[in-house]
Amino acid sequence: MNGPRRWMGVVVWGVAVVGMLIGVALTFDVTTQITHFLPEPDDPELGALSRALTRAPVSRTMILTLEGPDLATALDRADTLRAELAEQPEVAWVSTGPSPEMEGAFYKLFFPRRYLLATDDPEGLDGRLDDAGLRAAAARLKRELGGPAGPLVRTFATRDPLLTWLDAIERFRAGQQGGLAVKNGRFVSRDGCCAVVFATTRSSAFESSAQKPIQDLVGRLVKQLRSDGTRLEQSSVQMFAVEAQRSIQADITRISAMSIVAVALLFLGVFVTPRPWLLAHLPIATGLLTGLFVNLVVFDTLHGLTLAFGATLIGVTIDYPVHLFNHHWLVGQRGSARAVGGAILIGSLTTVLGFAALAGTGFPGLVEVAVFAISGVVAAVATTLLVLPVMLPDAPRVGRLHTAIARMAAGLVRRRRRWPHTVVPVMCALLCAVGLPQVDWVDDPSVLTRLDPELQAQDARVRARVARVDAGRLVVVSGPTDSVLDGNDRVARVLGDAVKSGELEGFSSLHRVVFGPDLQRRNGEKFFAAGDLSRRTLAALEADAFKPALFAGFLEPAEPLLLSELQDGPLAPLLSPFLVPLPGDGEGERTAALTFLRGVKDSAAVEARVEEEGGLLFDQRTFMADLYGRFRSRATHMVPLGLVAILLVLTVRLRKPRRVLAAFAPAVLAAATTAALLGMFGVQMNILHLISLLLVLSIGVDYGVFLAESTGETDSVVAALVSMAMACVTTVLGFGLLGMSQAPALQAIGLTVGIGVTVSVLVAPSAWLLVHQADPENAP
Amino acid sequence: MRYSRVVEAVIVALLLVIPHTAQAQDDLDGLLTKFAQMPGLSADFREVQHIALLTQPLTHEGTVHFAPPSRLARHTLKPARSSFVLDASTLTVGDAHGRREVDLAAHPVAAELTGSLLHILAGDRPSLEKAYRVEFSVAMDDEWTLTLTPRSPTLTKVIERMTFKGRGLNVSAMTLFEASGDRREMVFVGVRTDRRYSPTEIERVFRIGGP
Repeated sequence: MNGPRRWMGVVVWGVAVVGMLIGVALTFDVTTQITHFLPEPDDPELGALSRALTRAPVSRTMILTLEGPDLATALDRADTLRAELAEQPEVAWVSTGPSPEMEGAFYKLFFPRRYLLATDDPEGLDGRLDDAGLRAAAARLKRELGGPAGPLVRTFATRDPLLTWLDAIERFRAGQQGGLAVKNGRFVSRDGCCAVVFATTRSSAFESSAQKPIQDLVGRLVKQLRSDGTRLEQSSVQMFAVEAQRSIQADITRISAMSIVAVALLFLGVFVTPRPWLLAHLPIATGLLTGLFVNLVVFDTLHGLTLAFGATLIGVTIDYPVHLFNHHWLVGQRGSARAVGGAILIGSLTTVLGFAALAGTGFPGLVEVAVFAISGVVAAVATTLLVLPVMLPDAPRVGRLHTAIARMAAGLVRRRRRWPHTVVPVMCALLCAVGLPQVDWVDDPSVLTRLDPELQAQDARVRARVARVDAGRLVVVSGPTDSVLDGNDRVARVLGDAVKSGELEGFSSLHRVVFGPDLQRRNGEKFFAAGDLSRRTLAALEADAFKPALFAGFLEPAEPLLLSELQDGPLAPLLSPFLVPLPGDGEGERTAALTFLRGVKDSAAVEARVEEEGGLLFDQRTFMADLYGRFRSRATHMVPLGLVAILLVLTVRLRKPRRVLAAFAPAVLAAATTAALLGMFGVQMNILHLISLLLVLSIGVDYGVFLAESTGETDSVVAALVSMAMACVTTVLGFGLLGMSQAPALQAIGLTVGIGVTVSVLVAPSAWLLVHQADPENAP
Repeated sequence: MRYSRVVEAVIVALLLVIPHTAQAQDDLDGLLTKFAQMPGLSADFREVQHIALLTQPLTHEGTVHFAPPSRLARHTLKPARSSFVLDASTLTVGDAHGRREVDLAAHPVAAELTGSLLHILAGDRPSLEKAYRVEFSVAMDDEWTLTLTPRSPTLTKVIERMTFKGRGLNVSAMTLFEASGDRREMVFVGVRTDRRYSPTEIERVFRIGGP
């Protein structure tokens, strides 16, 4: 290639890089919505619900408790905390107690509907509204007027002599049992020890970058308040999300620093000058930029996890410059790019096919990861083959370490005895036989994150103070917004039966506060359909020494209270924990009503009761495990398809079955051995292990291809072997070190790739040597 | 001349009032301190409730009991037996129709009423003044009158004011003026301010249905 033509590639690359940089700068938008990475369940309604749940106020609301030397101090500090949080732009709503607007709105909306909300058992009203029942009601009114609540009862008695309003308040209070109390207009934990503050953030709780300033503020206040004896604690998804990000980031920073230093030392040791080390990063950087650009063009936005996973996968492309450099240094051809081009292209094609299997899982997040990684790999290969050769020194100096490694590789190639090469594959096969049956898959996504036990304890303490419900276990009823509460009423009735039967300890439902239109109408009919109720009530009151004239017109009819009226008003924050807005179905707004459960003793029995009434027992943990299980099974089916595609490519390129086998079998054996070893060590495998095994396969096939493509010259085979050894060390340093991380997700990737690549580098040469010694025609 | 006499009279009146007010404040502190030192209290009561909704007043008779720091019991014996017992923040009400716990947090009026009584009996003036505008006067015959006007808007919707009357530690009457115009008058007799409740008595007295 003459001078100007050689530089053409660099110019094209430079223009492309500048263009993509501008494109990325103009459209860069990273989201961290976890919903993006939620697998799509078969039931679209369930999918919509699980996505809506992650955005719903119930998951965006932080609960903070303050325990001071005394309650007055705690309440005072709660006001300070509220003021501080209210100043944060990320905080959408913060409250220390029911506002006067809430109390006013509650009375204004509920009191006119007192008869419609009188009871959840309209049939039971018959006994209360006959003559004997009305006499009992008059006597009760007198007792209440004379009792401690008398002054309060007096305020509404003339409009409600049957005390339906008092019953509604009592029912509302019963719904709060085990929950919150209100003192001096502020929320207080039921045990009276703590002031309680609620704060809802604007962004999803999982958007840790948006949540960090709030968590930092809370952290500062915790320290500040500790000095005056007040303990501030919280229960929130945000706390875990920010802590997880902090811990993962710290791990990655620490491990990356170690990895960068170690890889730099390796490159310096082998290639003597720093140029190869610097050049090796060009393909990776170009790959990352291309991945970013393509994803922004195709998907408009980029997910933080896509970036993390995609960048990890693109990291394997460091093998390509390593292969090029070794060939250039050891074989010493100017045309080294042409000599290794075939191997790199085939290697990258098989890698792309492997990553394409990710796209076949139907996991929206993984489709993006696949697109990111595939476009990145293509760009990295192009950079390796078009740009790097121009920048390599014409007469590279081969250092002593490089020479020593090459000599060892040459010794290995020249060894004529076959049996030593069988040792590694046979050992791997034995390990597979023993270990593969021990592989244990776990689909619970919670194993991907390690929650700080101290934070978990804090979360549990705060929850116990304010909401006695089991985390992640709820009943869902969904439907059109204004009638969803009808279903909620039916579910509440059967859950009440479940409590009586001992299947359940208790539940917290919006049913305690408001009924659906159907139940309200049935209550209304009992009061208003019987035309003489007013006359009979006044007679009963007169008989008990009341002045009936003062009660005239007490029976005021009203229209049912609709959920939409509540959702738009000041009471919305109180209702929001129970409601999740769902996407409309073209016929209007839809909402899911949630009922939180406590102490489920017989899950199957509760589920049967609930399902009969159109509800769904939703166990977040089981639900997610089920989805991830289905996803893993789909991924497991996709991997063989990817392997078949790789095999086809290798067959087309390498033609001879022995060579195809030598390139392909070691990768499969290495991946299987890795799984077997993890199984033998009792590591429970999850979805990240599976993805990492895919990475091991891709890298393993690359190694096989590098060797297979270098058939002929001994120097070429030696260069390929040195490349493999170096690529293995860089991969272990890049990925394997992740195994040291505290984060289970990083640990899974690190451990799998670390073991897998090491096994690959041991198996691939053995397989190649075995095949080629058996076929002297192809031997070097 | 006439003008200067008026001024003189005003000054004299002021001079008379100022020490009297100061004296009254001192007396309130002194009274509250004595209440705080009280080992316990019991009395018989007669309550008459003038309720506009009823053609005739409601009358109750019974006993009241206080054991520091926060136990309060009222046992109505006539016309029908009923009790309410306050222990810390839990108010339990019981009669022939059953018993129930009244959540004071959910009944701010009941909470304020019981709270004010406890503040007086515990001698807690700051808490009293935080919740009420406090007026205290002592008449020539040493009968003191303590008037509490609620500050909280929630409470003023229901209660206009409360007055307590007494001599020394002997509280003789309490009147609750409701915002509706209704009135509850309680007269106490047989007041024992040296009542010391043994653990057994506490068990017996401060429960529904006792003593």
